[in-house]
Amino acid sequence: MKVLIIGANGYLGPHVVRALAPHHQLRITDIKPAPAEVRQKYAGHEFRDLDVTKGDDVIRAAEGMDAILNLSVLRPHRVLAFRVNNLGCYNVMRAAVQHGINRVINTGPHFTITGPNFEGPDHGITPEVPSQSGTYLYALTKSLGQEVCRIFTTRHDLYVMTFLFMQMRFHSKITRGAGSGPFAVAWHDAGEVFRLGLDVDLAKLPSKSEIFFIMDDNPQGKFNNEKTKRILGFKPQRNVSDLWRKAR
Amino acid sequence: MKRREFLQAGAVVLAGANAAPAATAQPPEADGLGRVLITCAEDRLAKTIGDHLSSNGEVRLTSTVDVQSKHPFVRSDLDHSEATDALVDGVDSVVFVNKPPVGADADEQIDYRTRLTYNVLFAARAKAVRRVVLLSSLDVLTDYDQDFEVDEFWRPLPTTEVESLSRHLSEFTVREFAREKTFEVVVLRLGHVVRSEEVSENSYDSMWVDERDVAQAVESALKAGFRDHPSGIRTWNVYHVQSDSKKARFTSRRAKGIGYKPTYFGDAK
Repeated sequence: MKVLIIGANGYLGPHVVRALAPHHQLRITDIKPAPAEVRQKYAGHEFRDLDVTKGDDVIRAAEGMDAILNLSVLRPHRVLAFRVNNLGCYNVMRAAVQHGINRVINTGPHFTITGPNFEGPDHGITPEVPSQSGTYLYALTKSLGQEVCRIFTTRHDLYVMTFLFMQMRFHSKITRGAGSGPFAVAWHDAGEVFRLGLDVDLAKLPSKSEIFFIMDDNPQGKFNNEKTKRILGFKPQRNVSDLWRKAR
Repeated sequence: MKRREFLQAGAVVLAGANAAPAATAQPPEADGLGRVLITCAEDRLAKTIGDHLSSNGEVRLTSTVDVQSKHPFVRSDLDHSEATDALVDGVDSVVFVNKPPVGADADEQIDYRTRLTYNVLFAARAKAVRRVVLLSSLDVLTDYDQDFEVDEFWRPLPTTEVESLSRHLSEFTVREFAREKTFEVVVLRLGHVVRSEEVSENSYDSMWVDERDVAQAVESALKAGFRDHPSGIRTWNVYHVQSDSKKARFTSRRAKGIGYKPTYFGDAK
């Protein structure tokens, strides 16, 4: 599959590229040029500079692709957060429509839909709840972008899977007593789940816009990843439960 | 903040001085609208609303562009700044008319209806504004079968056209503030706003609503009481605003419950 990755040089992108490079032909893009060693390591793939807020550039970058992965994110800036997280999704969806690309994977933090109203009082939270991001800039702008994606699926022949994350940990850092919020996953597994997203039969998705919690079996029972395992076949390889075990 | 200070606050904002002390969330005087800030001053609807409300409240207009106005006016980019905080300081209610400047491209329309909405509400929260009225559009509901009696409880069905999409995203943004229950939100979903005398030669359009009726609906939204709910103050309130014609596409029955009294197009055939 030919896959456009947007925002590939951030925190998550390198793990996604590593997971997908052996299986797919990648167009690796980011507003920041990829480091020379990365270009060398993945020399068989294409690299481009791309600003997701520039609609025409996104449309050009999507030409000839079979799928788009939108990993772009900007958190604290009161102008750019709206442009990257909200307008960026609009540009991605326009590009998908223009080129007939029917598989898009969008990303965000868990509070894209499950903001403080959920996380505070509730347990067993699934990704099927109505969106309630709250007003925190990062959460709300990502939630707006997610809503844009959802609306495009109601009007066009395309599918959007939204992968939500929160705490990612390197395997070496998953140690007793290290601690984490209750939505953790190893970086390795965070990358691998995109391979599953590209493999899944779109016709078997419950709807054209589906949200998945990308987390290991966190012991708190706060959030529920059953859907991710059931539909995508997600089997985390790196158990994170040591994070919450008492330090010896 | 006293009346004179409120009306003169524009000069403070333009001079870039520090904001005046934060307002307390005192309700306006009985039967009055208090101090009302209206956005999109360049738009005719905003002017009509301003004229209508000025007989019963202290009106200030603002816009991202310079506008000549008979009411006190402050130009503001509505960005995240002390100037926006100062703009809403001492205000009881904000009427967010929600029309990007003429000629705005798709990016700018989305930006206006999301980021600028967010900025104004963020400032309103900080300055203890009591109520925000957002003007939205009934176009987000026109995809339902016309045979349905679609009211305020039906899910919006925006299209991916930027006008429809951005309108919906504006409501989406405001909704998250309403959940926090720090101020009351009223969303008025309007039909297609016209002046009846300007369309008198046309055949009746079931989406029409006269802008003077809209202004009266805004007044009703500002006066309505939302403190009668068993769980406390209702901070999320949606009303549909159409003409009173029997052929109107949507019903305004719920808006009439808060005092909306449409007077135009009532006899449209």
